[in-house]
Amino acid sequence: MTMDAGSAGIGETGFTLDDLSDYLDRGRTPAIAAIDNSPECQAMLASMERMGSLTRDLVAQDQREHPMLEEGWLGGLLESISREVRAGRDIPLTAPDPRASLSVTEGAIRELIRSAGDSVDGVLVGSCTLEGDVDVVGGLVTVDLAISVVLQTPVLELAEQVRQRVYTRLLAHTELSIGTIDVTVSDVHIVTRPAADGDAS
Amino acid sequence: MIDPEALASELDIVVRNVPGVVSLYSTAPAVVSVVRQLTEGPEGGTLVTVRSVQGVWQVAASIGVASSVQAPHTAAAVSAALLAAIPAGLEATVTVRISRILS
Repeated sequence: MTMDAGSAGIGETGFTLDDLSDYLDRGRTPAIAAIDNSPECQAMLASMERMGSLTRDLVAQDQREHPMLEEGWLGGLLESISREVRAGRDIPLTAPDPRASLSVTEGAIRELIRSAGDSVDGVLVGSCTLEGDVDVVGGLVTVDLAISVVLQTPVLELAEQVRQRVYTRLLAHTELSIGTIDVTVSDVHIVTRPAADGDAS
Repeated sequence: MIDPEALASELDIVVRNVPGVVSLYSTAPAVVSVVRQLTEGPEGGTLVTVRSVQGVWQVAASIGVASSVQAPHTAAAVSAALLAAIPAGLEATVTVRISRILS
């Protein structure tokens, strides 16, 4: 397997990216409990579905005009996502009862950030890192995102939309103090529209 | 006498019924889930973990929550529901881990 998240597979289930891709293609049937009960596998499948949606749009244009959409680019993106879906550190939340201990995984936060970015039309999040005091309630963190964009809206506008959506979701679902959210545009895909009748060639 | 498997099975239902919870994941290591599926079939086993350590019952749940509700609120609601569902008189702690936040 060339696209493996390590010998233990995604979420240490033993299932590789290829296995998950096949599972998705089969409509998730027959059900495999080890995949369905693994948040890491589920996060990976959700990312694959979002990626599929955007890349279908691009491929539909004219694949010959988009050499960046080669398998290597998609493979690299999948590998990056597979590393980031790992549960990672437990980020503590305020517990209302001394007998309770509450947390949200770093993997869940990265998926939240990724889905916020991917929700902007024409954006696909490539990588996402969270730095800072994630081990304490209310800790100060910084977020770094690398995104790929389809150039149909000005890049600055797309990046700002990503930043705003990520900030809003982090504010709603974590107790972290958000320092900065840095967005780097790492890939730009230019979509060419077919010339309309009467357009000068 | 408390049967941990029976209690875990009841707590699976309790967690799933908390508003804002959209999925429940295994708290056991993934390799255990894989082996369990092989030995008990696709529906085998509970997802909430219940175990007794030196007389204290330890309950752990790993959940996916809806983004329409603030995730910390859902986690707090799950912990409250679990504590309320544990038979009276038992000393217990609960650990709730949010593993996914779904749009």
